[in-house]
Amino acid sequence: MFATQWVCRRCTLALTRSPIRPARPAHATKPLRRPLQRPLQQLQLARYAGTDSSNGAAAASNLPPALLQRARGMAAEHAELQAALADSFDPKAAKRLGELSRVATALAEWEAAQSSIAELVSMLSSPDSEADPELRALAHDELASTHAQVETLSTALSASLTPRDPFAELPCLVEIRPGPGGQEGRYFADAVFKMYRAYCARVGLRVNVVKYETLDGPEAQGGAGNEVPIAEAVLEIMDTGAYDMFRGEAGMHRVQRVPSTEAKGRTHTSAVAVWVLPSFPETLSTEMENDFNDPSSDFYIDPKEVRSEKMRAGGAGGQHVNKTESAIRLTHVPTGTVVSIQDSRSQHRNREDAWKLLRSRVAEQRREAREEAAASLRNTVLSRERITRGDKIRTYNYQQDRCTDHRSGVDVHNLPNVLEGGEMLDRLMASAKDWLVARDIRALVAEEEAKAAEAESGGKNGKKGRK
Amino acid sequence: MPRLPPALLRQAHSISPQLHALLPACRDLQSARSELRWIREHALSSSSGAGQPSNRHGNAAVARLVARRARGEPLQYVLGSQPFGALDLRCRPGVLIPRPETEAYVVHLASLLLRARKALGAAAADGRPLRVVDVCTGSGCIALLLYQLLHRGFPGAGSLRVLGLDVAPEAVALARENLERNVRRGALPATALEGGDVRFAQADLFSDGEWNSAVGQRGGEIAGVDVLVSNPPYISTQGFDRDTGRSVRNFEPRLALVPGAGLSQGTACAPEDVFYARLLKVSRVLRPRVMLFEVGDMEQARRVAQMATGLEQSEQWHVEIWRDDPDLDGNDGLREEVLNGRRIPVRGSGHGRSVFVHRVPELVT
Ligand SMILES: C[S@@+](CC[C@H](N)C(=O)[O-])C[C@H]1O[C@@H](n2cnc3c(N)ncnc32)[C@H](O)[C@@H]1O
Repeated sequence: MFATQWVCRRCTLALTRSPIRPARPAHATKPLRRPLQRPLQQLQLARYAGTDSSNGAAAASNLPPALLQRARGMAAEHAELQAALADSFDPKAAKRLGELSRVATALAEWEAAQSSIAELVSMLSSPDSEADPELRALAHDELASTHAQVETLSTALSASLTPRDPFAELPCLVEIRPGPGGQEGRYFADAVFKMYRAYCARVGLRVNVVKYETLDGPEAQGGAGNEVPIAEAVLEIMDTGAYDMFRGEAGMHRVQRVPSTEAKGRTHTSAVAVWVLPSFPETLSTEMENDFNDPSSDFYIDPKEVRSEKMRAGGAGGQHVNKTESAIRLTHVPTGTVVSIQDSRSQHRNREDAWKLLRSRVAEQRREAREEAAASLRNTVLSRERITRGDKIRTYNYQQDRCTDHRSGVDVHNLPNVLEGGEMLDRLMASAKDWLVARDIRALVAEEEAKAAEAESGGKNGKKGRK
Repeated sequence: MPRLPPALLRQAHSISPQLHALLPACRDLQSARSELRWIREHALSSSSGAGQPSNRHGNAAVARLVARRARGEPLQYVLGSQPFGALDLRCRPGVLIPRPETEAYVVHLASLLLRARKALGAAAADGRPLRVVDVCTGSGCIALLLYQLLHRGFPGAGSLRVLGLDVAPEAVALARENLERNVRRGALPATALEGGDVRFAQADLFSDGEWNSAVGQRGGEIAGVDVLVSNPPYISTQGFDRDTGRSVRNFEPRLALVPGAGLSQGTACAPEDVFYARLLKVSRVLRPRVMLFEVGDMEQARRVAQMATGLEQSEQWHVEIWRDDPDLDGNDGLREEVLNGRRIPVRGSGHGRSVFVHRVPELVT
């Protein structure tokens, strides 16, 4: 029922895999028939699906001119800075150089591919090649594979122009909470928690269970083993860059299955909310350390604004009792954010984890508020396609043994493999990430187009129009 | 102790028989669940190393541990350890289990001492280290955590020296084990062990000869100390029968909890307060600048604070009462006591937990 409307996006995305992955060999042997401008055209089709399909088809080059122009501008700045830095060192310029180098490299690669295309085309149209069928066939093949390469390089170039997520390099916290509704969502929350934990174990990411709060109820046989009803679970993924890996997982995860407690065999639909928060790494670089104490940083928290409370042993405490639990609750008064942790036997650890979670939640709130403010200023693609806490992003359907990502439209079978954090989950996560990249590119194109239009109308009002 | 409601037991049983077994010892479902999880994690981590443990093997190990805990044995003895600050301490019958309240005031004391580092370290300039003595050290928890927290402020071997004393040989042996274990795990710097910065010795606080030789070992004559801390036995005989948890009463050493009956003979103080009287007396010889003693409740805190106001040159000494969490704000009643005509600040939140006595102006907040 939900599959049909996503079909076209699904094939679209299959064509715009992120450039980091090696191009599928099929590409290299594909004949020239494929249109040059596929990736971006397709991205735009996805955006304009049903509203303005002419736009994508109208694109004549495989990069929107606005983006190409912007990339060239940045590459020029890169070259200038490089020359300047050769003379004298300036840390600010060096930092900017680092930011620009991604674009400069991507553009250089893209341009190299473009010029080989031009060379090959002129070769094919020259009278010499007419006479040499073998050379001609070779050039044809070469041209086909270069075109395929350009597609990948265009996407890479576009992606390099999109603003870098400020949290991308950080570790992250994945928060899992049952959606509104009954017990079933609480069991499935456990399944989702175990799915990510198993995934991390498989791909070799270090994790720390910050919080695993169970509710009362019997253990149930679920899809990926024994499920316990949970109120909330927080998994820290400690490797750098984990935020970027997991940010596509944020949103509502819907489950359709027959609960083990359901006598009549009816399928229930429930949901689990997943939220991905940036987390501060354990060993701080000096830059980060400064950030920590910088009141303008998202992660800065004034200790005076935090109220901490401890759960105390009943009775006299001290030598009289030997309780094993040490719960701590922190309240960030200005935002009303409350965090309570009691998972570890270590009081020290609970305290650290509580602070970590509080910092992350407040940082995420600040970022959301900032994006909210930006979105209300301009009605960009980004603001229309933002994933908010209520958006359903994925469905796990037990009866049909499949899992569908609603953003990318990717649909995989073998649900047990997904829930064990296997390769099928990889595919879903990759498709979601690709979707996010594609969305950022659409937003960028829209923004550049708007800028160009503005400049044009401004120009008309001022001097004489160029046209 | 009140009986558990049958409905609660039934509910625990419906979840898992092991939870049901733990419930009487843990008293509520939430802690029973946490403890079961910790027991499972422990069984898993101690069987790993020899590859993937067989499931049956692991289950048997969990069942054994659950059975011990269900009989009321403290979890810390069952698992053989207790985290304390960033340290992991071994625990075993015969030696008191470190308490979270102790951890809280040790952390607070360390942060105060670090803040007043300059004033305290003035002596270090002439080559004299900051010397800390922990009397009644038990597992060594206070001595070890203080070293861990303070060594950054007093870096280099020999600039911070900590001595832990206890009358019980089991305690001294365990404290030494904990020192080695935490150095090995990297939780404590190597200087703690190799440089001899942290030492433990067997000595009876009530025997002049014994503690004199323990404290004076290094320099020959009585060297004196800067910081004197102690969490001595402080429970009265009646309190032991009435106010202690069953697993404390049945499994932890009475020697660590209740002062020996003979000790208070010939003194004016209550039998449960004799260690404080003795510590203050010993302080005249050791001449510490800072003292911190754990106490059982606000009543005892008042009595000890009152004793402290009677120290020689009493006008030099600042006396404070700290609650369980000296660094947290709370509304647990009085913020100040007046004893012997002296104003005694009462800090933090929770029960009265320790008495802080010092003569370092930089420590006044
Ligand atoms: C309450 S425990 C404190 C242990 C440890 N400092 C802690 O905080 O967990 C008291 C300790 O004092 C020791 N002790 C009892 N009588 C003593 C005495 N006369 N002299 C020295 N130590 C004594 C006991 O062996 C026990 O280890």
